[in-house]
Amino acid sequence: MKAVIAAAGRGTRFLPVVKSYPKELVPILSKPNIQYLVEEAIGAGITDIAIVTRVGEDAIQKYFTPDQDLEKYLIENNKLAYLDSLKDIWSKAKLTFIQQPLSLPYGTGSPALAAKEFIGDQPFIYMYGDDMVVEPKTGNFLSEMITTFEKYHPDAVIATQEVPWSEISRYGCIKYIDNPKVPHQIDTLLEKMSPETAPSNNALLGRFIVSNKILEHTATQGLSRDKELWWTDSINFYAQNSVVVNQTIKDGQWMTTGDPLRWLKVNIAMALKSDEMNSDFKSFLKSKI
Amino acid sequence: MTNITKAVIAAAGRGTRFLPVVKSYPKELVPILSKPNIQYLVEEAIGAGITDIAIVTRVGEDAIQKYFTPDQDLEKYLIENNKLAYLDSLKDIWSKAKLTFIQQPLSLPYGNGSPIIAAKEFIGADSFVYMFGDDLTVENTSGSFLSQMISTFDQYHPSAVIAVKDVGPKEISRYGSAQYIEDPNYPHRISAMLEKLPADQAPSTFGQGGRFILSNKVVDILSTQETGLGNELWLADAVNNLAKNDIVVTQAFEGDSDWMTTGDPLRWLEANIAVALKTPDIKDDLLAFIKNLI
Repeated sequence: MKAVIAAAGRGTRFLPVVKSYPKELVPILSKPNIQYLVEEAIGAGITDIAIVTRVGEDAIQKYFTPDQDLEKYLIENNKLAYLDSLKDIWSKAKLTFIQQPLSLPYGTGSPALAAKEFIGDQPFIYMYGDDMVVEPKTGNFLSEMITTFEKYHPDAVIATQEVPWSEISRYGCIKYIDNPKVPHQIDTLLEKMSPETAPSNNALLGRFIVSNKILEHTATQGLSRDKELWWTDSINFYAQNSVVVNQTIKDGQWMTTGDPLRWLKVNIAMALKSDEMNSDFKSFLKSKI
Repeated sequence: MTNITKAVIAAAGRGTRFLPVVKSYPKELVPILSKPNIQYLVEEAIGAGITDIAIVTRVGEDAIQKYFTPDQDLEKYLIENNKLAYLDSLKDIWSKAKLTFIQQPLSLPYGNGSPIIAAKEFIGADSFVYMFGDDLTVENTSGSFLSQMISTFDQYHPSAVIAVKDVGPKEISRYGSAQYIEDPNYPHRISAMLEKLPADQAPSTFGQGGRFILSNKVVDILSTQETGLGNELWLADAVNNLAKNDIVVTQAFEGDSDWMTTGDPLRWLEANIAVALKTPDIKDDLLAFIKNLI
């Protein structure tokens, strides 16, 4: 299976710093945000990964390309280990970089369309660049999604996390159907429901495994809210007309990096996961409250 | 009125501890919330009344200069989407200070003294503010600590004012430690900064922070000074030279002004948290998040 990472946003909430580089290269500790998504895909056994960026954006590709001058400097200074995480990626996966044509509309569906040729005629994984899964073993949740896809052969496996009912209105939420043959089949995705009207507190997050035929619908479905092309419209079409199942995160946590406050929280969560930082950092946090 | 109107920011390090992310951009552009690290130093200098700021980078490094240069395509996009306010902090800098970018020649040795030599022409005959790019002052009003340093310089006319912080006996071995001498005319006068001594040998628990007001004498001293520890050219050696023959005093971070470093990912993250906890619209949310974690 192949993975497509949507990394074509403007990231304006990170201005002015993203005046210099794309939002996907903003760091989580010492690695860029997007590297965590690549590592998550690799952790789930994916070896063929496409990253879809804006037109003219080559910094992400450059980041994932070896830099001989830097390597020479690091070898001379006995610091080459700093590149281990990148070398690991290079040895395990083939990365493809796709610039999303300006002819495509804004929206979460367009990066998938831009990757149509890369995807070919197989099911694929679709990942939103702003969403992170913080989990004990990288790629574990995505592996579970793949297992579910292979077991039930639905048109899509979507991912959700239980959120407090009071927050469900901020997310897409799902309505289940009872189907004894297919557990967790969903009937529809609903946007911005109040806690009183929401059918579940399962909030949609940016990981999908979908049949490639979904792209035919995405290509013709037309724009909706805010005149954008919404990936969730495609998913909804298949939920209503075919079979889409949900996988809920159990052992891990979905976090978004879409704005500086949430991004900072992800950094904190990652530092607490890191053995070498954990104890110093905990005493720092205690001193602040 | 002060004569101090110039600041030199040392931003010529490799930042290897931030690899691999700094494979893409210089460490000075790593963000503290939504602004690059170095922008806080520029704003601190401006907050202290500085109008002429030189940023010394590595040879071939033009990303910092590009960041501080207007980008018409981006402005057009932001105007069309009614989001131009995201550039307010940069526009404020452009209206208040002149920025100069200096690439440190490869002929100069490594070390935190070399950026001053690289900025020799910029400094001219003036006393100036010198700032280490890895050090961040976290305070309610940007530039208030640096203003105090400038006031001290104007009041006593020493050849250097050095920022220090009482880091306590446990931490002092990581820093240069101030050796004070009694002088009724010059409060907080020092005879030397002693590098990285264990607590039982350190002359005080006041460690050196990366902010200095320096007389331009330091430029000549550094220009002829030999490299020291690790074959690097150390500002501390020049400061000790000044302290021996001249007046050098310290200014301690206190009150709401705190010194933090951003030299490695953990300390950088702590600096982000400290800045966020001083940012009214996100402070409460973050505090609740942290309380919930520990």
